[in-house]
Amino acid sequence: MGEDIGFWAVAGLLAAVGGLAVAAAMLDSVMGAAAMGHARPVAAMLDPVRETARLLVQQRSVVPASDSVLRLIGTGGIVLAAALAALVVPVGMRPVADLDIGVVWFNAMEVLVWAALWLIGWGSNAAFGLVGGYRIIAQGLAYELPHMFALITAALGAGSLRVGDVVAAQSGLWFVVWMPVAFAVYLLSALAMAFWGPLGQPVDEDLAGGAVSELAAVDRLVFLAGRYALLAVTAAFAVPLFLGGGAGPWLPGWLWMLLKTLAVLGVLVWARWRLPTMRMDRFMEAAWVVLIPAILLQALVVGIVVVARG
Amino acid sequence: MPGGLAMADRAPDRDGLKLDRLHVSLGPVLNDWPAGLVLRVAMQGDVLQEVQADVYAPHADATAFWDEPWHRLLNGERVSRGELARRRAASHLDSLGRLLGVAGWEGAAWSARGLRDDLMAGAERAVITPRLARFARRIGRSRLLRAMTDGLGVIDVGTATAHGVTGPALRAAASGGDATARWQIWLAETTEALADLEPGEADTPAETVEGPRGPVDEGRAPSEGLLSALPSLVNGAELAGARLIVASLDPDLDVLSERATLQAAAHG
Amino acid sequence: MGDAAFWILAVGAVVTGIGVFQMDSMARATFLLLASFLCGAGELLLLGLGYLGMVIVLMMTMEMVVMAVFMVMYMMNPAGLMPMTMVHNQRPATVIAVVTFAGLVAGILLTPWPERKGARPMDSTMQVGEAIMGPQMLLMIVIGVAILATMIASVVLATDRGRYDRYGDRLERRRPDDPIPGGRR
Repeated sequence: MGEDIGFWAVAGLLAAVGGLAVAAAMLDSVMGAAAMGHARPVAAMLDPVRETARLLVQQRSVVPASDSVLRLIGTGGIVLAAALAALVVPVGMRPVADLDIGVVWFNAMEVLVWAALWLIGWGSNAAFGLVGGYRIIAQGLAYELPHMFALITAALGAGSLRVGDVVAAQSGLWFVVWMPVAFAVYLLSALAMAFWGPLGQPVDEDLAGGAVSELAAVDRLVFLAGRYALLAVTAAFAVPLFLGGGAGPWLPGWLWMLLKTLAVLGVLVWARWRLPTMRMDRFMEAAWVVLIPAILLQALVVGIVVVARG
Repeated sequence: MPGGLAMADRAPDRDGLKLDRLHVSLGPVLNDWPAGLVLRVAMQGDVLQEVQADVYAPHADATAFWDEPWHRLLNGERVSRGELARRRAASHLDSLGRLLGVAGWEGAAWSARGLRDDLMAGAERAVITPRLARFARRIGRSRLLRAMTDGLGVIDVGTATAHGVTGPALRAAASGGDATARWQIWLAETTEALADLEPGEADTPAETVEGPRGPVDEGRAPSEGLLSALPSLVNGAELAGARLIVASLDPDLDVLSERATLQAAAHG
Repeated sequence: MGDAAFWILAVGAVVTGIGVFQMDSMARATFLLLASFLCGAGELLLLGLGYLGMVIVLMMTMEMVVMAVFMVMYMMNPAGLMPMTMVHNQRPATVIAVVTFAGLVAGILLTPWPERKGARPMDSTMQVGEAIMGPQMLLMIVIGVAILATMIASVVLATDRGRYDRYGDRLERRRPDDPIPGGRR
């Protein structure tokens, strides 16, 4: 801790996260338009811009006896958690804040999102909002342990919780090659962290938007911005953990980082249109009976390799 | 009473605890929901209890869109097999689109809706068949979708007979009777119906009175059986499961007989 | 800068801690308690104990979110819509709280804290790990097994259905017979 963090570095990072979030929203619109059979799906690229304008002029909605303080904390909390998590994502080889516990920092920020989403659902004082809020907790209990072990496995392979060291440890061989299970679990939990697509049950359409069903106007805009930012940051964090960070031939590190992030982001957005939603009453048992033993075995293999290498 | 709202009262729950419960109405309008259906439920957490199904009646002169060709057949008009097959396939695709929407599979839901629209617009068999085959392969092979719908809302043959369930839901009862069996029947019957879109068959006069949701010539509309079975199926289900059960039955509230409409009106 | 942060977090921890008992809403009380814990975690970060600080953020957030569910489930007046109080047995409780707080503060002020010997470690996480996994390894293993045994025992005591209820008297069923299926088929 305690490194100096430059103002411009932070500003640049937030701009990059914002840009990636917009890219994710546009990609989602295009894929959606293609799925709906529009003649020119690429034209849907501007839908997020139109939606932003619409939300800016929309009237804010107020539910009787809602706890607007908690709701506001929750809405802002999602944006804040995404921004704080981005601090440890390396642009190139080193993060803006190369904390010696970067991996744990990322994990903690992502758990704050549970609290934030529950607060939105609770503060809305609506039945669907509350059910959606509780769904994020059930989902968290299902994916969090496999997810933690996936993070720990990557850190174990590098022998450090510092994200920069994890990147450096992959100079020879990317972690995805010899930790495929950990990478797969990370991708799954990335969907869950951003409550997106197959793991988007907390804000699913079967509850008319679930936890955020009562958010309108600027509140919804802030939430959507935070949610797409979360998706972008979780996609970006897969790159230093498993895909060698900014390593690659010919191009500069930051460009490789961007390209790999966009690739992971593309997979996550594609999963939304390709897979049905997983319900936690069905997924929980699979998560604990299948995923946890699988990722523990993966951690064991990595541990043995690390010890054998000396 | 803060905000003019009543507090939740408490009742025993399914695990032997005593918990708050809230009285909620699901419907009459929700996305991918049979418009006009109202489930009045007591919710503990997201578990539905004391479910009552009501119907906000359609207009008295509403025409039952999906059953309309069969009614013309009953009235002695000449209706071709091709037209019936087209309507049946489109109706099943309409139901599948709703089910997939509730299941959160938006990509597949839009495929179903696109196929339905093109069928209704008169697309030819040669155009539709490969697209439908692709769609059927995609959702038929989805283990995830099956894992999410298996064991939901089981209607066995006995229950089906008791409630007067007919049509695809009755045929599904033979193969498990859960939500999975019902959407698989829809899928299979859609594929079968396409065979009747042959140019040669299109002009053959039809004789069957079996509509998309069951026989239309009985005194009782086919969806009445579904509606009668519905409350006991969703009672005790979790909200997400209940939505899938409703979507997998997909009662068509346009085709309720006058009697059911009157009953519902008196109740409401 | 460091001093200012210390005082802001310290006062914040105490104020939000007191706030827990002023609220008439379970959700607000729970999340004020979380805020208090997060202030405490911030103090650890200021001390340079990055790992311990972040683990507190991580664990306490998870715990409080789960606790909110149980608070709302078990306590009366969950929504905080009706007037209620978080405090029962008010006067003795206040006395106990104030005396405990004063005792702890006195302990902090009166303890002869040792001076730092040697340089600050490069990686405090490594030090924590070595302290736990080195001389204290046996103790940690025993504690770990004890916690696991406690968890399993409490679940066994709490559940009213065993494997014979689920799989039949001769464990002959392939699929468990559960009132609410867990998803395994």
